Amino acid sequence: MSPMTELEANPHSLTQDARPLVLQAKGIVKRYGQVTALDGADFELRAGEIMAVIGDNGAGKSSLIKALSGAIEPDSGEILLDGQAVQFKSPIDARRAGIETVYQDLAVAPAMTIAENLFLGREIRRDNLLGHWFGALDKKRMLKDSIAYMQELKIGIRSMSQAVETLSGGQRQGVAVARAAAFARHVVIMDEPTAALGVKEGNMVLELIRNVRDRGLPVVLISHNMPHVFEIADRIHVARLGRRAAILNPKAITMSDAVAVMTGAMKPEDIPAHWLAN
Amino acid sequence: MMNMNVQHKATLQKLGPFLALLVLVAGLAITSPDFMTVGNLLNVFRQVSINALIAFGMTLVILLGGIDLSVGSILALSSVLTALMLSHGVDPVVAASVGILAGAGMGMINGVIISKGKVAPFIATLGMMTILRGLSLVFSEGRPITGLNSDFFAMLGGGYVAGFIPVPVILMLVMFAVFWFVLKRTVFGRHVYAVGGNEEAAALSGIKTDRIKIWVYTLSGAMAATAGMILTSRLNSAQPTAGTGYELDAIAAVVLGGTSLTGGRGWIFGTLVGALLIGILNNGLNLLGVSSFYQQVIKGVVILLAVLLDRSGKKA
Repeated sequence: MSPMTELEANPHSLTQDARPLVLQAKGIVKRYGQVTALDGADFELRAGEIMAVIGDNGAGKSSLIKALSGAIEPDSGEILLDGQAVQFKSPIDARRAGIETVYQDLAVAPAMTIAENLFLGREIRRDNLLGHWFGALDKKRMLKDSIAYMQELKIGIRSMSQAVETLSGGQRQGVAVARAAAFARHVVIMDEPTAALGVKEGNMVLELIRNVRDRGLPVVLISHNMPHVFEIADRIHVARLGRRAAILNPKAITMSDAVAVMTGAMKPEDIPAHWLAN
Repeated sequence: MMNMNVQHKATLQKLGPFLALLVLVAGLAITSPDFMTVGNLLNVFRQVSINALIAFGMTLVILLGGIDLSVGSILALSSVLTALMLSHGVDPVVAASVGILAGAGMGMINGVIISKGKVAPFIATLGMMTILRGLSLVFSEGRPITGLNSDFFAMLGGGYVAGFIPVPVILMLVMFAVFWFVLKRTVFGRHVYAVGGNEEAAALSGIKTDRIKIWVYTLSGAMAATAGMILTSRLNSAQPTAGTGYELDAIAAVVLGGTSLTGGRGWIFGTLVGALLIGILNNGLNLLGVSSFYQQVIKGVVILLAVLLDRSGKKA
């Protein structure tokens, strides 16, 4: 392989450093009694990228994500958002700071409509006395915004006033992703967004995640599905033994290379330099 | 196409109770000459108003996926408290307001036990039902409280607006409009549906689910107490045993109206229709001279049929 083709294979390698760090974690430790879930884990996410997080069960993958989304509080270590240290006591805190999480079990209210779900917990009130005093809803505006928003993300759902339970699994996931993307100011975290979906629907959600990134929001994608990870990730964070084993470049390696790092068959110090993403 | 069908079906199903009401009214209009008279209809509406008021509050509770068994006892205790005040010469506006606030307070205790104490609504309100019934008997010394001596208070249950519309009917319609607005058009209403539909999702969206629950049970208590004021006024006395079994009528009205006991789906219009169905069924069976024993059997069958139809519609 000539140096030229390697550069072509990894067009980000020269420009990536210029992208600012949006979300960063340094030396996160989390213990549950005797068990150490996170043992000084680091993490970084740059503007405009999709960072996949992979790791075996017990590698500290979900604990790391929970710390980033505010679901757990680390015992020590630092989380930086846009360079500022932040502390999340609950997912609500993280959300307020601009980090939205799409949970694996689809956090939607099935009997409510798409528009209602998109604005769940963030309803727009009418700008008049009824709105201010009695919390009267501005339904028209929410419906209009929902339609515009779903079109922007190219989610092909015709009616915003149909109940979410009438949608397919992929469309429901689409609603959950759209909601997160609509309100996230800094980061969207997605926990196994394609796990419960068939091939076609999975691809639809992948396309949607790409759309979210292309609109400028960086995405953290937790997934067990290697083909999906390799299809859309810009970089791959490999969690192992409560730490980060490496950040890999999916364009320079094969899936079995990634699995080797994930399982420890390839020791972190032995990883060839060109596998790594910078 | 599929979706159209689903929505079509859902709309039809939603209107099911309303169609049943129309059929019932038409049937009675044909079989009983006394039914379709203004006098009889207003009378039915007045009888329905007490159950409807309780059922409006119960609708919110059931939308949350909860249940409130204590409404009958709340009705009795607030009625006893108000009657005691009236018989001691307290101003009727003050006495009625304190009675309703007391009912709201009892409901709030339900809400706190359920949300903060994480007690199942069935158990929490069953306990409160027994406690409050006991307190009604304690405060009234087990006897009816009479001598309310207030023409103004008597208006609440027995008065007329514009000469022929009973005050309780006006109250019922006003409260219907208020509850409709709250459920359909306010942030609070939407959060009630959200908590009942998927509590975890609601909490993750930043909705303060405990606060919603406490408010809903508080409202249910206030509505039961309001119904208690009307009953006390109608009877011109407070009975410590009043309201026994009213929780079941209210639940029946809510369920007949198509609100799901599992929470998250339902509407206040259905509850009004459900309450009217029960009231008109009672009235019609009386007019037709059906024995009160059979009336109970028929009412039970109607409730079961309604729920079974609702079920089969959902599976299809």
